Amino acid sequence: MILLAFVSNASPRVREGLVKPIRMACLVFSLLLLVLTTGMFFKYFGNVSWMDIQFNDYEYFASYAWIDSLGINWTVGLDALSFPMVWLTTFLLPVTIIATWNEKYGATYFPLLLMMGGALIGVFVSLDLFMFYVFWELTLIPMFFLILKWGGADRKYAAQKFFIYTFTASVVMLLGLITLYFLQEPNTLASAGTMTGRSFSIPELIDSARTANVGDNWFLGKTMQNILFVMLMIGFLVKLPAVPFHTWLPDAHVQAPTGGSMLLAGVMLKMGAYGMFRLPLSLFPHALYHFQLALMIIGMVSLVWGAIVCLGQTNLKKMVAYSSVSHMGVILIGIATMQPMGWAAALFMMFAHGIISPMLFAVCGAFKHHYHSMEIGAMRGMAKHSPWLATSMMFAWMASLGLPLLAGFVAEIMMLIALWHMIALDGWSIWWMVGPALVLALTAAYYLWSMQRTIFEGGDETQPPASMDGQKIPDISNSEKFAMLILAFFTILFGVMPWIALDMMDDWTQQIFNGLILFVGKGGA
Amino acid sequence: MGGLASKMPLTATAMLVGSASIMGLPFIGGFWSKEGIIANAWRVAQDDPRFLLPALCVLIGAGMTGFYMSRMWLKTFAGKPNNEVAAHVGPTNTWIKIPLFTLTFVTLSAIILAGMGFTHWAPDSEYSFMSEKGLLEGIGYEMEHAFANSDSFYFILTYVAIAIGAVLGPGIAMSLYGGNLAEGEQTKPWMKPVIRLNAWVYRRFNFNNSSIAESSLTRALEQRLYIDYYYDMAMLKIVAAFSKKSAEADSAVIDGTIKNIERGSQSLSSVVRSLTTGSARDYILMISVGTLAIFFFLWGVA
Repeated sequence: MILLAFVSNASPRVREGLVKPIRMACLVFSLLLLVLTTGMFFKYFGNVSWMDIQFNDYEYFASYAWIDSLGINWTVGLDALSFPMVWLTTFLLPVTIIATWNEKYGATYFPLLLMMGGALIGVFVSLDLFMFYVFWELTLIPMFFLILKWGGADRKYAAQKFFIYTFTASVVMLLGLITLYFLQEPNTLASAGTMTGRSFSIPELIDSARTANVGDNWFLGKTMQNILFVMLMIGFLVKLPAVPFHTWLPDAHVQAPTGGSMLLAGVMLKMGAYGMFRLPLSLFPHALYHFQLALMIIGMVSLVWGAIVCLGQTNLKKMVAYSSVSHMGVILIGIATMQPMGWAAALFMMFAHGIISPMLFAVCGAFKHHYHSMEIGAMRGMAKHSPWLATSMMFAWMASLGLPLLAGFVAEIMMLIALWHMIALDGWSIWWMVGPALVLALTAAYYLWSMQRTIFEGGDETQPPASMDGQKIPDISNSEKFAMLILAFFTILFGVMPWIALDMMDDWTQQIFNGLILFVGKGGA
Repeated sequence: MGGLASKMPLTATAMLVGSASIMGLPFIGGFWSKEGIIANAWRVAQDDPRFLLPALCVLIGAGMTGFYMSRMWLKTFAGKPNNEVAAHVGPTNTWIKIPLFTLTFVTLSAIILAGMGFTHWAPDSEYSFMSEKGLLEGIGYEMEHAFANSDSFYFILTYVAIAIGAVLGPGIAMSLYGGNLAEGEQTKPWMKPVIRLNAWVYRRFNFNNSSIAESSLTRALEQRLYIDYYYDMAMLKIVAAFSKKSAEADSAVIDGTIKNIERGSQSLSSVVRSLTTGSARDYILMISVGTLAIFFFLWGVA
């Protein structure tokens, strides 16, 4: 299925006249994928007891020899870490296509989105280091073209910066992966290559790491484990992105077209967090403890810095981009708490932010599309002219600032509880609570302030942006309304009934803690 | 506004009952809770003198409540209309009447709730006997408990509280505001005694309060003690300015570092590019230098 998804995404270049059929075909295809993954959920993942599945066991596991001599296999599989991300990707694809249905894009826009989705699914399902890296880089290509071709005025700079920045980081990660490959004991793993005697297989690597990481015994030795951990983390932290590696994100977002932004924020940022869970955290628990404080500091700095910088932004989309940085800080803090609940919070944040942030960017895109302006101070009282846009904006903004009963709140409150556990059980200082507490207020401040200055205020004297040239101010189109409603529906659904996704995440983190962290003699509550 | 009692009878009634309830007039809603709070505050203060001040504050607060709630009602519903709008107000619409009526009714019938033991609803084993009493017994018990307390301290306290909250506070308000309705205006019979009493107190005890009304305390209170002012200043001047600076630092320092690296690598590449001259002589020179270098390197290793 995944192979099919990937191969058929390589849609051929077509002439302008075929835009509409291609658009429709892309939508149908993405809907098919969504039906498939949702079916997988209902048929299997919804009923399975995750506590029975051990850590490092995968469902829908399939492995085919690819490059035998080097130990490269086409290995795919899903677990509670990757399945929500795969579903999220397939869910966002049709929504993105619908939300940008009426934009004047060429024939290659929608296939590029699909290709992006294919590459993202590839990242999430691959269980082979080589394959993982290939897909990891493959996601850059459609995004690069999306930004370069349909971006804003400064798109060339942004696309190149985005590409080079993240590519440089992932080269460091690649070096780490190759080191990991060559440090194996030759011919010990089942899928070892015939020529090199070493394997790229993630499950087998995790298994051998797990047998080695017992008590004070470090897999690959203390120094090497720390070095590899840092190398892999650099790749993932830049992708996440964490301060101070975040500056590619605002540029990329501001210049990217709406659909690109939606996928970029919705799924692509989660690749970083996903990679952290899949590789460094699973392979190097000792190093994770070693760098726990560093991760915590980076997480806190991302959270607080992102929020403070948000408050100083004048561009709506840039503000939303920085709020993503802030929210990714929540994920990092959740990981750094070293509590099962913190990890579950991080997983759920990945998922919840994956639904909320596309809505944020869809709203920004609607501002851009209809008003040709995203400056916060440029307009007043837009709610009078476009109630739908204002409602969507208010909903998305509230969801992102963590209103109870919406999806983001669940993740945030879990992170706070996990942080509290860490303080109470592991003897950390109470002052670590100050950052999140401050950010709760700051987040509310920048969201409410931006909302007040764009859609409210002004009374009867509304002020449309100057770029409208006095034309009549339109509301959002029907397809945009539809996409917003879907996103809003799922935000509420996962806010009121978070257990749909949270159960599997929770059990997965329990498993990883039982199977991994407790082995190294430490562990949370 | 002013004199609305004749034009909006139901609203005026609801407001009257609500205000009386908040002031703690005996038998209706707020009285039962207020009585309990005051009694318990003083009970704690008896055991621990540190709580004397809070207990006193509760009593003073009761008096202030009595004053400001009556002032609001009197200035709105009693007296004569003091502007054109107030003189031409019509009755409220139907929908608002339903909640007004319901809430007024519940407030007035609060004694039934008290008799059912609602004031001792918290899990308190001392009062578990309440659930065994019938309604009338319960009401009787509550009345006795509140107005004829066997403990002389609480007995006096109850009447002091009523005197302050329901007599002194409203009394001062009545001497300052309100008065008879305009000529020819009629109101419902249950509001007539209130207005008549108000008019009598107003005539008899009116005094000039302009020295307080024009004091700097009043001005500070009008500005809500300048809290909003300082809050605005803190938010706008400090936080907003700080975040602006942070945003600048983000693009100048963090992004600037990245851009410097980028610029450095670009200039380096242009230096390297200048080696690509396209002239055969340069290349031959480079090849020979390279060959020599390799030769010496191998020689050195060997």
